Amino acid sequence: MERIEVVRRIPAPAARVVGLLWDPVELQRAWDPISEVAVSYHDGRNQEFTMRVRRDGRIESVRTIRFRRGRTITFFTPLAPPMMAWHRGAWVVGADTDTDLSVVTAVREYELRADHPVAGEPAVFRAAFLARLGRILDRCADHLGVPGTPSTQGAGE
Amino acid sequence: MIISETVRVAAEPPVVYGAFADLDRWVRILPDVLDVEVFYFDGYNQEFSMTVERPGGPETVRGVRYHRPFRELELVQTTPPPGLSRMCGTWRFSDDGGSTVVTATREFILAGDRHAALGEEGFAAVLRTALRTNLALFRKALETDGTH
Repeated sequence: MERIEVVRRIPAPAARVVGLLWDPVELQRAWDPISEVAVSYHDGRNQEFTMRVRRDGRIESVRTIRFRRGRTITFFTPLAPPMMAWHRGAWVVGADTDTDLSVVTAVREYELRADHPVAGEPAVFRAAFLARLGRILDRCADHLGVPGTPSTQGAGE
Repeated sequence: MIISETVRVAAEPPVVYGAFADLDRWVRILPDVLDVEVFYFDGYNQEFSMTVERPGGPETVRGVRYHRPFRELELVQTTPPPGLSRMCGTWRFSDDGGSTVVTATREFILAGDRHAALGEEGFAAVLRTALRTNLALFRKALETDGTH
């Protein structure tokens, strides 16, 4: 199993940040590679949606089931990106009430399909995935009207 | 509306939790469960479908369970039964001197006219009876007849 983690400080209230991450339709407006979102279930705590998303010039169809408790969103993808045998993760939004700053931790766990041509070298894929997560959070910060502040980029340290 | 039912089972929480967690056992323990299919399970997240016998014919629900050994299973039916827009719940397992107290909670929202004659209170009563019956069948399987 591979595990990656990216942290970004976003100068916006935590409630606003988690609201953006929890709403796949608004997330589509923030993260341009998402071309289509269809929400099939939503009850405020649980959510299922399918999205078409571009990665390295290819369109992937990914079905995601998410669970929200407070400012933590966990998810898994029964229909995972095609190069992954399985894929799950979390968005954890921390709040600094003094500064109105949010600290977002994006966690991903996955296993690559050894025989999939797109997966390539695990270390290369891992680096690209880390960079992609960072870009998603930067675009979320842009969407909220503020630039994202890079913090740490961990790789399971 | 939220309802709950409780049963005490003379077995330790890992054993009782294990019976509820393993959907293959549901088919053996509950006579109205016709079929279960697990589409995804990574040790915590589980997606499944279950077909049950109902007076109007078989009904298939699709759902997700979150496994938190040996204290809780949480359920959401992403495709709830006909006439419902929401069916969520938990099974909670607590140790009581070597026995296990199982509390099953369900939250539901009616949709459409299918259950109009029963209304919310009437449907809750039916659901309570079904929960009580299922908990008793699990207790029987775990304590006496070994079908678990």
